[in-house]
Amino acid sequence: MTLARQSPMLVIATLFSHWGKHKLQLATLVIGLASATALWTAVQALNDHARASYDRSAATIAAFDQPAFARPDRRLFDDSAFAAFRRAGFMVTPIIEGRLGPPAGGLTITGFEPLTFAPAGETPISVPRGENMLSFFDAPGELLADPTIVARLQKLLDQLPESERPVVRRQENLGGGQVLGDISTVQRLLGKTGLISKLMVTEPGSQPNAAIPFQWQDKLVLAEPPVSVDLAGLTDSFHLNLTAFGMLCFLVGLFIVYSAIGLAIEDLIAALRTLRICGVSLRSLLGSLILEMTVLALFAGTLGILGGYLVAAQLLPDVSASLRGLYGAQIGGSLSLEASWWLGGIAVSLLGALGASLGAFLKVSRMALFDARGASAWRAQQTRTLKLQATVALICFATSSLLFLFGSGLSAAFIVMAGLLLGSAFLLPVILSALVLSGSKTARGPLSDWFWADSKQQLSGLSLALMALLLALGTNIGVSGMVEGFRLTFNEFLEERLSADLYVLATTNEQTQELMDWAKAEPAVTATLPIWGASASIDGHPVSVTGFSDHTSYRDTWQLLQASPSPWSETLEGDGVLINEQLHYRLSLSPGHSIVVQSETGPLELQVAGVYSDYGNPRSEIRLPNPRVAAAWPSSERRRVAFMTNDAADLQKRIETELAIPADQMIEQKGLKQFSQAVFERTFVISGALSTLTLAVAGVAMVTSLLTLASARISGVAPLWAMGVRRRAITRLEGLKILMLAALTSVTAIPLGVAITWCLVDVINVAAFGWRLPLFVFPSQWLTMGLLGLGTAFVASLYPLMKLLRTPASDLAKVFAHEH
Amino acid sequence: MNIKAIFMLALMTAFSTGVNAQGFAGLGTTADGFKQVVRGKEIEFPLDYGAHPGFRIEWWYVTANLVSDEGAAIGLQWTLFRQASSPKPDDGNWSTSEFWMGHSAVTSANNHFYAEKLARGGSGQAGARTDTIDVWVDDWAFTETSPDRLALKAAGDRFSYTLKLHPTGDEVRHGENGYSVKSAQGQASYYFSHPFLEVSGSVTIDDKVHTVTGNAWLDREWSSQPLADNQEGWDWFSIKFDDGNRLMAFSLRDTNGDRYVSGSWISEDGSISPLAGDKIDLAPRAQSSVAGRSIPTSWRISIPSRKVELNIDALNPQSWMSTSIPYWEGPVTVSGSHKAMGYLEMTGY
Amino acid sequence: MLHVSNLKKSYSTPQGRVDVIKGLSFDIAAGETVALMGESGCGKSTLLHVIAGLDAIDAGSIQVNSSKIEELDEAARANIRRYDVSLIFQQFNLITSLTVEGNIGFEAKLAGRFDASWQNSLVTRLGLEDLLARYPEQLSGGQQQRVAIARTFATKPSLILADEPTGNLDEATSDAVIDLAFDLVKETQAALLMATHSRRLAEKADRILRLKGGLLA
Repeated sequence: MTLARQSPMLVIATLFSHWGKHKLQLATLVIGLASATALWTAVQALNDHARASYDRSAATIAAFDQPAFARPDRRLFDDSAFAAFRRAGFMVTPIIEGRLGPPAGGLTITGFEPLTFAPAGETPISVPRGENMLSFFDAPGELLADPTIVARLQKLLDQLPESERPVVRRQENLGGGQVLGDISTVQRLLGKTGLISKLMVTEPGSQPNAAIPFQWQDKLVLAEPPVSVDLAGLTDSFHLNLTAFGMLCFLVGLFIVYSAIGLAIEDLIAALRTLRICGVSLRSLLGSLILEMTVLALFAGTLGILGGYLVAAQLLPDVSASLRGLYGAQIGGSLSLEASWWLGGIAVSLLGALGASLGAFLKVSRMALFDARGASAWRAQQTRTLKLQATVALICFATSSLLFLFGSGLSAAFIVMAGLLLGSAFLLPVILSALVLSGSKTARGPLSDWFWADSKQQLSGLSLALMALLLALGTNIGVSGMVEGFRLTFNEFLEERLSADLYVLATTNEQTQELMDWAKAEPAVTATLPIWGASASIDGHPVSVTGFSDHTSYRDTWQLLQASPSPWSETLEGDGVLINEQLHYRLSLSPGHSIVVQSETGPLELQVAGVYSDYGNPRSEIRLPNPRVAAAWPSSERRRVAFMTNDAADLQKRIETELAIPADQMIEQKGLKQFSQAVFERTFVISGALSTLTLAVAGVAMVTSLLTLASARISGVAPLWAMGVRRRAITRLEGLKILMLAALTSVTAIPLGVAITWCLVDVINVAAFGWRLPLFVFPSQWLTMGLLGLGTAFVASLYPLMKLLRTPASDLAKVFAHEH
Repeated sequence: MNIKAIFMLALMTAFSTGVNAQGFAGLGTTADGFKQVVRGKEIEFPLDYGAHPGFRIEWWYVTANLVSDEGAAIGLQWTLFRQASSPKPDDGNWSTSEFWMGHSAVTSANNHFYAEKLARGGSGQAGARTDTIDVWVDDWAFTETSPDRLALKAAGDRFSYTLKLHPTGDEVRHGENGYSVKSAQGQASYYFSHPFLEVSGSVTIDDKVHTVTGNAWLDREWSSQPLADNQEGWDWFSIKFDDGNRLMAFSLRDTNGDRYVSGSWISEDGSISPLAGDKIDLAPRAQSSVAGRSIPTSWRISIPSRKVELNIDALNPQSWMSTSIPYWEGPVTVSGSHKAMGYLEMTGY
Repeated sequence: MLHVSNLKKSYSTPQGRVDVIKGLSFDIAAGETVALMGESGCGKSTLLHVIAGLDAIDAGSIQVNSSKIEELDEAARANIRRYDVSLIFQQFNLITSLTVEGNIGFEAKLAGRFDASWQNSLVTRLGLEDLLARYPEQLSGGQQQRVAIARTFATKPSLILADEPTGNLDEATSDAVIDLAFDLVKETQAALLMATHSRRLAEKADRILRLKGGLLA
């Protein structure tokens, strides 16, 4: 058997014996690949999971959001209408909707009638079958609930006597936050026996020509379903954000893989050369290398997927909280390891490994069979690389600028940011090289000369790790700047917006009138501010309409982002309207523009008088004085009233006892603020967590880079040692060099971070959420991040430096020995 | 038609994949405080056309063989089942002590359209008076509009009908004056038919209105314990001879593969004579592939004592009712020794 | 100048303990050039390394000027290399990140003996004037070794240890480099111990030490 025919096994054996001897290299390679895969998988998992939840929710909601006969004022009506409509040939099914428990923390519950509930298309609702059907119908009945809220539901139900307590059944495919039950069960639980919310049309195509039953003709109207909020569309930006972070983590992970493979090839090159000289073909050599990387990638990919699952499971509660807080989107269930993740994760791991080792393969394929082993022309190489990097950086920045100026939409916004990140990363070695060069001008004495000169030389080897560090630090500074800025803005916004002391939600429009009459005679109430609400559309774009009263608290405290000369009087006395920032961006409306709003009484032509900020609201909104809302929308909801008073707690108690409005329909300003703040605190937890992970991965990238350099460093520092520089001093200088480079990187990360913050608040937020945040900078954060960067570099350099310090003298001496 | 209790069971297992064997057994052997069918009770008219609260199951069942103004044969079906889950009466408030299931169908040589309605008691969506014919589910109704005038209506996705029914003879009581024994174990039901109903009205198929005339057959049956445990399927015939006589015949298939055949010969004057199994022969002649099954849509009926030799053929072999519990039901043409029209129902295939 | 007595050195290898030097004694006086010969693996490099304090010895004594190397800690041994002993190797002599000029002055500056006019004269004599701004990787092997020699003599060490300094060079270049080095030794009254395979070069030295089986032959 010829050597050539044995060669694949021989090569593979050689490669694997290499890993056996260099377990650390193997470990970093696997860790790098696994962590890249893990973070990527985690983000995919979270996205997939959330999207699947939206689909289920949307399906459930769609099942109940059909055209329906209901009272114009949305009050409940007698369920005898059901039989009347059915006997008249209307294919309708009765629905009762209500809220179980207090407004905050309560649950929305829907009662339906399974025998006539036949919504078009598939629904996730599955009624118990066969013998179990009776227990679903008959008291105490059963409730179907999304697993995420089963515990909350059970807690609410525990307040009932045991004989009246429905059995709760988990239904995985129901979608977030849904509770369903038989109509009789839900009527009973809500204390609304004999009443329903609507008669939903089950076969919209086949309604009789007949008029609706006589006794209901003036009472019920057929209403189209409300324009449903497209959760997937709303949350796209959030997921894009996650995906962007996932990509970033993955790239940083690949830096590790790249350097680990570089290191291995460096060590292996002599052995590979020998194999080549012995007659192993290049093809077989590369084939074996690729095979080996594939095996490693499969192994690391598997680890990564498991790790990704753990990370995702860890982050899921925060992601759910963010989505719930931001969009009201409920994410249900627990994560499951799905086949698509396995495939995706393994594919990503494979592509990553092969991509990262492309350079190494190229090096192997180009290696000279006989090497003079002379000093390589690193300087010329470095100059070439720097020029290339500067060019790429310029291209990135140019793309970024062009898209910022001429692009639109969220994807463009993300490319602006990606350009910024990549451009900065590529520019980093150029900047560092210039900084080191100017640093070398300050050099006094041979060692500081050497320090700067050597720093410049080492830049080539360290630049990948430094780029990773820059990206991680920049992202951290950028994201935490945005989060901190958001917090400031939001708190200010809450102060401004929540000026009243007590917010009351009356049960009916009539009760609101009663409440306001009562408040008129109440000396403790210094102002009564009703807030009417309705739905409308502008050119088919859905908007909510919110009413307000003429009160100085609005004129004085509301900061308008843009305004006509006298926005308040135009709105209160003329045909002016205030629009929220979301609407301003979405329909490009500004003060002075005319808009036509479709109201219940017909088109309403209005002049935009001002734009107000409306953070966290996913919908477009307009504000008009209450009387104009009531006039244009006769069926508007008139249940919300805010009161100014000195003692909100006392007022709340008196409203509860004197007007029988349940305490859970009232909330004090303080409570509302806390609630809102808590929601928004959690909103960016996920970004924070991911950016921290990125930093950790950057640290690992740095360790592997330094390890890669370590063996080359020994011959680099040995001459100094031979010339009488102590090893301790050399080690100190080496450490200092890394810290200096990390420090310079951290400094460079500050403008990058500010640019990212700017990009987030001014470009991405506007495109994603429809509101712009003011740009704040937080130098104390920079300091923290700078220290974190230095800390990362220090921790990362500890092991390689200790290794240098501990290298036996005889090993150092061997560098010079021509006889070994 | 005691086998129709299978359909009542369908309510209990509504939307489910199949008949629940335990449900059969439960229905067959216990009565749980329901009223019992007893020998010697006099069936009264029009009182017994109404509902019988306290009994577990009952049904109103109408089939009609009609001819359109264009001369085309059209078959009609209208069925409403009542199933009680407990003997206490419905108290409104979405009570589920009663469930209702309605089936209707229009069948021509080329088309077969059908619809199903489900309802629970107490809501008023479906119900029945207790003293005369007035039963409904949604906008389907079977009502006595004036003495000797009945109105029947139903509608589905592609069909609807409104018919007037006019009795030309009297009701016939099956079994022992309406006490109809259903098994050797003694299960029984109250059972009467009205096989002499003249029909006129209109049938709309795909928005085309057809004026129709013809004959209908009404069955009323109620019970609390109608089934034997091992009954598996059923082939049931109602034949209206041109000479005015009527024939009802059925074959019960049990799980052992045995058949129990029985029938009634109803003379033009309304007198009824039972046909024991050895007097009548029912034999499949040809099978059709229907809804993925093989179903005998052609039969031979022989009653040698009356010199009756009939070839029965489905007007439309694809008269499949893909309802909660699927079955075959449709009009048949009759040739052979006598001229006639009729209806065929086949279950358990 | 250099006084070596009864020097022993062994290494532990996976195959067991190997006695490389089994008891060596010799002296070198100031201004004296001594060639060290012997077969590959006979311990020439090891001998140079232990004299420079790069590696520790097992027994015996090495005295450079008045310092006994074996009695010094690592810091003091580094000082010996910085002030008294200068090494020239076959390769890796130069600091790749520094220019030729930076390399030549580096050791002298480290030792605090930088003398610009002396360095200039060395540059001239070694013919390095045009190469001062270059970096090591831009030089030929002979040029690199001339830079290493310039660096060594710029420091004015009392003992120069050279390990195959011309191992990578052709004969003519070797001769030129060695002649220059020997001249400078005489001029600066340094002592030179040079390990070499080349009989021709060795014969240029004042004296030849032959190492065989860990002992002087």
